Amino acid sequence: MTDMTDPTNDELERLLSAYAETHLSPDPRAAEAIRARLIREAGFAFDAARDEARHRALRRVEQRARWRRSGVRYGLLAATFGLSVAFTGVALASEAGDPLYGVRVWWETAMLPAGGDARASAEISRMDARLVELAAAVESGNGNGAAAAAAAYQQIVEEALHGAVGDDRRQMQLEDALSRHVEVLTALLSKVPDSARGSIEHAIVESGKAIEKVGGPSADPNVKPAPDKPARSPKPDSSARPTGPGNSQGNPGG
Amino acid sequence: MTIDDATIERLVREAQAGDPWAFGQLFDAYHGPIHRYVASRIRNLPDVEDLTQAIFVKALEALPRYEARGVPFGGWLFRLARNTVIDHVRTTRRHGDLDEAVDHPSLDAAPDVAALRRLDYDRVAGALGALTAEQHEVIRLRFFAGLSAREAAIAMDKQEGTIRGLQFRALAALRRTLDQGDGDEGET
Repeated sequence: MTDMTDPTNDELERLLSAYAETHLSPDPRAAEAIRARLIREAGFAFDAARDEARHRALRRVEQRARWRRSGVRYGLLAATFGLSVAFTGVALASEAGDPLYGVRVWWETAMLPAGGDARASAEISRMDARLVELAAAVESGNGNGAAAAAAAYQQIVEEALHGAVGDDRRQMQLEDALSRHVEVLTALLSKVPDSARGSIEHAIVESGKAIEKVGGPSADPNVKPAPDKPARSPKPDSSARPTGPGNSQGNPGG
Repeated sequence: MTIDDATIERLVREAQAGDPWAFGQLFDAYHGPIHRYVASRIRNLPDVEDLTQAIFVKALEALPRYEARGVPFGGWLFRLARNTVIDHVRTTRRHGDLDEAVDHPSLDAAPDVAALRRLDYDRVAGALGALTAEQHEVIRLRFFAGLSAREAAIAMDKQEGTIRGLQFRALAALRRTLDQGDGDEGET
């Protein structure tokens, strides 16, 4: 590149510059007109940019306020959700007689299938579970727990009875389950603490009534028994029923 | 450029802040070089003036996005100008070489001197036609628009050393062509 300083290059560069100056330079009047138009355009553009910047600043302020508000909202939502999860966890782990036992039973009810055989099976499973809890409470001498489990059991019986009305198959399933349960309840009655005795006796009486209801003809006259319908199990013998103080007089079959 | 780089950068900052006067000063500094560059590539004078104006309008719109860090304003502006001309040429296909470019013959020289110069210019124009596209572009940017090698490098998106090399080879090729022309004339 030493040739860059060649004097003939200098001469050539001068020639090129002179060529541009004479052949390519703008007409001063045209340049003046373009300049005037551009300055006017620049004025408009700068004004518009200032307006836009003002609006942008306003939008930023509003957005920050919105973020703050939504941040608080989401914080509260997250806290509520966290508390709900914690509460649900504690409730689901609670045992019969605990303060949140009622919440647990309610949660189970809320989580039941919407209807059909699945719901009927789930109801029976829940009754079984309550009886297990009841037995555990009786074994440990927990009268409150036994009473709570018996009350919950009774509530499920009512719900299951309501759902089975008009459906022979479900009625039969319920009748079989209740018959088993009455036997268990009767057996527990001899061990139950006094504070829970009334609840268990009540559960036995109500279960007996429920057996009578589902053991009778279908409440819905339109529902006909299936041709291959199995024979119904016999109604529980009234002699098998408990003869607690509140029940013995009220049970003429005894 | 009659204005130094620091002044240019200050004017750019003022224009970015919304000062039309500063933008007018930038126009004054760059209008001539931009016009000469466009005129060296476009044949039709009204098109040249329209394109020159369009380039400054684009610069006005893009000015808020310009950042001085490492990029001289002249290089940035000429990159914009170059892209605008390339787009124009692509869309209109009405481009002309230097020998067809706009002609404003100087009126202040004596007729015989002017005639001699005219002869030189015609020979230069003919010699430019023999350059490669990149060599030709470097000549336009460096000698017609008056850009520094660094500004030309930014405008062409190349290294400064590459620009110097292209310029060296372009001048050598021009000189060879012109010398050859002199020889031919001597023989005739």
